[in-house]
Amino acid sequence: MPIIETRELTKRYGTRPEKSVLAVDRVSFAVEEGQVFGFLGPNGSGKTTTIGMLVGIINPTGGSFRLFGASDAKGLLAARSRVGATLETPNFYPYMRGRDNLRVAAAIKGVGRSRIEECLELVGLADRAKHRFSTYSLGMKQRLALAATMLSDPELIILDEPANGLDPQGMREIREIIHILAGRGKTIFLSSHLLWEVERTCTHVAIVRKGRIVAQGTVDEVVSEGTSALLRAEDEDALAAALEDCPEVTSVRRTDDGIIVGLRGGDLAGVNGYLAGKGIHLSYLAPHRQSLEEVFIDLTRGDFESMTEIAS
Amino acid sequence: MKILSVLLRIETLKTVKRRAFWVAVGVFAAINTSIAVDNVRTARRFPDFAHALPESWPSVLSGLTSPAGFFVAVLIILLVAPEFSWRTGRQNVIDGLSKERLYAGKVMLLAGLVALFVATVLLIGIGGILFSPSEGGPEIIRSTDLS
Repeated sequence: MPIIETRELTKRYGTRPEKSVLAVDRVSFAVEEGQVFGFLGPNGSGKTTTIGMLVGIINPTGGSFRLFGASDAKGLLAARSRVGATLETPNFYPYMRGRDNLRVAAAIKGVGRSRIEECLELVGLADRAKHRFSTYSLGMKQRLALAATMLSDPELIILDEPANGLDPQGMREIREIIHILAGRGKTIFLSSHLLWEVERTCTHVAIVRKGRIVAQGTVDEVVSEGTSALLRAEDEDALAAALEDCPEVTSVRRTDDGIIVGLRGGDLAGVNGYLAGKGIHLSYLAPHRQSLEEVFIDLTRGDFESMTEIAS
Repeated sequence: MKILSVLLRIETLKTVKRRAFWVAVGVFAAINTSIAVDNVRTARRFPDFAHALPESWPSVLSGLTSPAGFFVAVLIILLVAPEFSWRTGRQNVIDGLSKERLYAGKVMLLAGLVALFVATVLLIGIGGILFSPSEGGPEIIRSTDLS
């Protein structure tokens, strides 16, 4: 039984067709027990809306989902007690100390006090727990949010952009905590717009663009999906032009290294022969394993504004 | 029943740490004290009319009801608005508190505060009636005791 399963999950904001926004469009995926599932997409691609529907604060307009196999209101309420989740930024009472904020969360979850200290210890906030939340750095706020999600020792942890706005040190700390949790057999669902974060942290990934899932599978599957090749020639403009017309080629992308093409059949010799027929002689031709970043850029081509942030 | 005490505890935890709440309580107490002191003074200065103590204690203290209504409105705003602006209400719901229970806790805290206020005023009124002398006797309750 999958821990999370969505079927054609859809959210449309606004009722009038000309003004409404389709934030999540027929999204289907399944997260199995023990996976670290990355939900990867540019800002505004519907990640937070999807999580909002899973945690029950946004009503879907179409499709369905199951948590721990439950889909009815009563079952979902019970299932959600097995879930720890954050949405967008860490949300706490700024005038209260870190520890007191956790006391509120613990009271809601029906968890004892000793658990608060354990969670503070795990995220490295035991020393600062006596200070007010408003005095915390962003990294500390994120870690307090992580501590709050872990209070009830949930089987599923849902994190929305856990490393958002953190410096490399802070990101590494978050990543280490996630690894610890995954090592304890927790199922983790995290959203991110940072490729390398997903590549380093997750076992599985779904890539979303404009509310739709454009690729999903294990990180390895998604990375090696489709064959591609790296080509170089004296005259790269002519090469690129010729490749555009080649029937074997599905996509052409110029990089500093050379031209990366997606291939329909993986027939490198065929491409070479075709180019030779056009009078273009290659100086380099090799199969190319795409990084997640390249897959991502291929799949989300056209979203240039968000891409500058993603690629950096 | 246990859930009700949990809800009240959650809401109390949020509220007692809040400076804005205590500032509001302080302002409310100061306004009430000054109204009550003023009414007592009037009653003592013009004992010939309907103002004579102790019979007029109820009317002395009834002057406190209008700021109380205003204070309840302020409290409702204080308790509810930040849950939206800090998105903490949403987090409470994600953590497993239903919206109904979130508001039930606030209503209970409000009811508790109102009960506390009514009890305080009642005690002062009863004390005043019991101990303030009608004429010539020793003064047991003085206006300053109300502060």
